[in-house]
Amino acid sequence: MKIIEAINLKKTYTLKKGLFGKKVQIKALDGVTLFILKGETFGLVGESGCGKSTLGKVLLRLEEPTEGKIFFENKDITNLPLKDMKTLRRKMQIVFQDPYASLNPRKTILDILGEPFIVHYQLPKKEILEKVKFLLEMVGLPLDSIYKYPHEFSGGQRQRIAIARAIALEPSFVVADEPLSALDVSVQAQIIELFLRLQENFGLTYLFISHDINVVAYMAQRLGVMYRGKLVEVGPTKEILKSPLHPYTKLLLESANLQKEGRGFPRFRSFSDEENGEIQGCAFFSRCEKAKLICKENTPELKDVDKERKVACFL
Amino acid sequence: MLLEVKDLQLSISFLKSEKNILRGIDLYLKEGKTLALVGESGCGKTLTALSILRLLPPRMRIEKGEIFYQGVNLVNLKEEEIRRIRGKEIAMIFQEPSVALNPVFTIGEQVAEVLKVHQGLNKREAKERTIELLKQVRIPDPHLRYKSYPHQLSGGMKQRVVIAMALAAEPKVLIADEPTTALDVTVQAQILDLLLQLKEEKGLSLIFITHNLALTKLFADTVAVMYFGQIVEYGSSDSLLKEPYHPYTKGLISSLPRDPSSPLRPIPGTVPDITSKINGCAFHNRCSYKTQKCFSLSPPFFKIEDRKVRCWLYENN
Repeated sequence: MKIIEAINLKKTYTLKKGLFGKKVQIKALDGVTLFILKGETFGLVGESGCGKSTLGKVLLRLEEPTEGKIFFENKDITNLPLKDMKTLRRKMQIVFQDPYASLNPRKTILDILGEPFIVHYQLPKKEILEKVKFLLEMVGLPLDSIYKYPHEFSGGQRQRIAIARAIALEPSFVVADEPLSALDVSVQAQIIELFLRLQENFGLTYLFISHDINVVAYMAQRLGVMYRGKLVEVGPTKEILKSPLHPYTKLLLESANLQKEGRGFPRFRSFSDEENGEIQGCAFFSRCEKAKLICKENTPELKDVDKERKVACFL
Repeated sequence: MLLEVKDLQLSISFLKSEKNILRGIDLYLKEGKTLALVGESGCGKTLTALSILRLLPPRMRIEKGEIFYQGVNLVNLKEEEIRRIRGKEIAMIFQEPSVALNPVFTIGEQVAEVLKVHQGLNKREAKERTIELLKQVRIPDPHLRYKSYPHQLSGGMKQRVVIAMALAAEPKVLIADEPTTALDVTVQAQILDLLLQLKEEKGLSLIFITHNLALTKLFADTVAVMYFGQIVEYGSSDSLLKEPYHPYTKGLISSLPRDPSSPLRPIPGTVPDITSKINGCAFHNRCSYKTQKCFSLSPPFFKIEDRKVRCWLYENN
């Protein structure tokens, strides 16, 4: 069963160059269509600025889409009034990248983790205390953390607090937006374990966003690769790892695998800043080694390769 | 030996009491080689590097030990003397390129300043040389980029500028403190590639600080794994990665997500506060191989072939 589905999502931001300069449209999302099944982990990879985080936020309607539709549990939520969204937010939550920025430094852990229960259920203090204790236990933090402030915790512990806050209202869908990138390798492994354990205990569905394809490959059953606002490849993780189809996916895999296998570096052209404007044809054209004439003139659509795999490339 | 650190001990004064931070570090760097310092945050990697350059934060003091650079003990040098070593002989690049650059000067001016100070070049010469350096770190259109401000560049480009600055005075040793942690995977590969090429071109010796053991495989000749202000394992990178001895090194390797089918085995617990006091082996509370001895006695180095391990498991080898 599909828990969330996006159809042709677009999000454009308007930037003004200088005080009187002309307006520039930045397409953060350029027609993204995807669905996530209940209980699975869907991994989203891509470089900074490719629209991964925007997609996560738009799906939860923390940002409003410019175009397109979002369905949550088969219900169209694209234009749902904010009042109704609030009820729905119990079911959809987010964990942010930087646990130093996402926790209010002036509130105790009890305040931070208790707030969802006050906002959504107006629970009495005593019950909140019980709930918070249960949450701390779930994420593996000592119970005496309750009256401490965020600065008293390490990065990994803070991320545990952020995760506890996200699961407080027993959501069914959690967006994890680069939850590991601010952490040490050894702590990353602990947090990955925590995510997996919580998924088992609560039957959670994750949208796991990361630029590290190794992490995503470990967590996710299905994988989406994003490049400049578009999904360029979607499919089961195992198959994508075994035989990546899009040249960009290959590039990502090579960059990540060199850490594993210790061979030479992939040589490739980098993404230059000048390209930010309007793009014609395939967005990856200027970096692609196999580019043909058709790639410059036409934009490839995301097309079915087989039952489960899709790729946006003329090759 | 180009650089040699012997029994380096660092302490911090805190409310009239002295607390240990580094507990006897020994390191060797040969010319043209790369040494990697590996460990979790807060184990003293960066402080070891800062001690070499004598750039320690206030209240920290080198308690004991020697740091020999080409036979000169850096610990005893006066401030003016160490300034001639800093940047010119031993340079350092930091994790966060956007913090290392001044936002109100163009990147060209910032690189040129290093040249004026260390090489005594005049304005015109400094500009020419800067453009050449920007070219060497593979920044496209160096003439135009000279006039760019840091915010106009991407993270990878900024890190290239920082590398250009570090190389401006033609140092022999480059200390790179987590130079790619803040960058994307694809950009990370480019920057590491660049460092490797520059090392070859200029005959640099590198000290590479990272928390990711996997990266050292590509790079380093020797690896020193640090924990709690000590080196717990020391050896050549090939053999150390293939067959780690110390339980901590093993933990660092099994924390890396590599193959989706093999389960992750993270190290339980967290890094202890480096200023605290631990009886016995510093790692014993997170170690699954611990014995009675580990609670009371701190292990010395045991030598196994070319490897050194600070763990009681190898006492009888």
